[in-house]
Amino acid sequence: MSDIRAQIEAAIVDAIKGEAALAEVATVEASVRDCLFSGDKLTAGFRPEELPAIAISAQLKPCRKSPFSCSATQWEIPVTAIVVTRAAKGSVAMARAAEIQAAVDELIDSWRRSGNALGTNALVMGEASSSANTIDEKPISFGISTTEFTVLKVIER
Amino acid sequence: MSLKSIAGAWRALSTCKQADIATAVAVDTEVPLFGDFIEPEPNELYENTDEVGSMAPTAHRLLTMKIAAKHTSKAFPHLVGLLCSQAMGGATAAQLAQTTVYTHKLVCDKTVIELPYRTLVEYDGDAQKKYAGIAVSGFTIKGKRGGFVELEADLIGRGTEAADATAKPSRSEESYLTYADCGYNVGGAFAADAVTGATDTKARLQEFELTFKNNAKGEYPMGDSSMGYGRIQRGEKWEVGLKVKLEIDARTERTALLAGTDGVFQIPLVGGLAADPNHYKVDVVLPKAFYRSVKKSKGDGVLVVDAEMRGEDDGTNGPLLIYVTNLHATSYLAAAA
Repeated sequence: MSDIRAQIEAAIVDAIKGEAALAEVATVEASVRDCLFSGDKLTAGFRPEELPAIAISAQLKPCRKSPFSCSATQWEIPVTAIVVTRAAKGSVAMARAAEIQAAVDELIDSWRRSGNALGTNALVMGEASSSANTIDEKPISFGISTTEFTVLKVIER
Repeated sequence: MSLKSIAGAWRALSTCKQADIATAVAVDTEVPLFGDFIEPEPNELYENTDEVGSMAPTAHRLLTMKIAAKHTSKAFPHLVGLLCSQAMGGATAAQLAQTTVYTHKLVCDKTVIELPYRTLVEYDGDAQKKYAGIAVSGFTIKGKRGGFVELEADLIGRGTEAADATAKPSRSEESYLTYADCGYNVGGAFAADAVTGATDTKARLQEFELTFKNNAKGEYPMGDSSMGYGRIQRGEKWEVGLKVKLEIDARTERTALLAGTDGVFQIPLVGGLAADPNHYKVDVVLPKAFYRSVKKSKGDGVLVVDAEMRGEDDGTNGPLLIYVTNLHATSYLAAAA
């Protein structure tokens, strides 16, 4: 199970790194740092030069597996994309996070079409939902925006 | 007694057509298997209920067999080429210059009376059988927002089966087509295999369903002891229909219905890159179609219209053309070598 999730994460990371609109993103990684889970300060989790960052994870929620056809299995893999930005003011950090998130949303929409960068019969299906907030760690503010979507992957047995 | 699992079942077709209904050819492409399995069934099973004097039949005889089945699947260009070419009767392949990409033009060919046949092999999880002489009497291509594009083909077959031990062939690498690949263009002109000047209407399209029927039927020739069809031929008429559900805009569909106007309808399904810059594609074109009904209804608080169109023969192109673009190098109706 983890192989397919890791494959999806790697494909998404590669696609984001290749996207011209996201060229300014300093870090794109297939892992979610501890500081985004725990109460640890983001200043401890991210060095300034590592931001803005996008973290991708297909491991945060359970995935569903069901028969697709007599010889194929369908995986529904929830994916989370977290954008982290940093600025002196919260409003600036939030605006920057929203800008990056919009570019990620464009990519997600493109993955609804067949033959996309995620691989054969790997498609974004259903809703993609987003949320955003700021975290104040004076004198710095961080913008965090999260997008959740589901990748449907059909595997032939 | 042990239960027989269907897990691992598969179905495969020959990409080449058979020379005749009875002579099987090698299957070389696996196709996704959804829906029911194929099995020959009696076409004519005689019971002597017409004989006077007995309260129940006293004798019976199996006279003829047939196959009547469906192949239902999420659609991708290779599958559309395989099945729709059989129903329509005509297919040519042309390589795009300087590329490994081919465009297959599927046309309704009135000169093809006896339909082309493919060989089908199916493993149901327990036993593997070969069915020679499979033709297609019609198909439906449909799609709706948020889902896959689906293809359903009506299979009509000779009615014979044989044991088979062919290894499962490989499957096409093409991705299933989805709603995100769909376009819908109305109007304009169609010439030289291209639609120009049409109005892009896909933003209003909620769902579509294209149907094609050739009204095929099988014949049991005199002197043929096989009990299966000796020939499957198309009917007298083709039927080409297109149903769409659209969000109402300027009521153009109703205007066209009342005015009796006809026009070009196109549903391009553009998938991922086959070989840059060419995409995998299924392009459905009705060169001349008219509205048969346009009915207003509601859905999710907005006005929608259910429109039904019928394809006409424009005298040059026939009522329906389907262009399939992929990496398959030979015509979908090429004979086996």
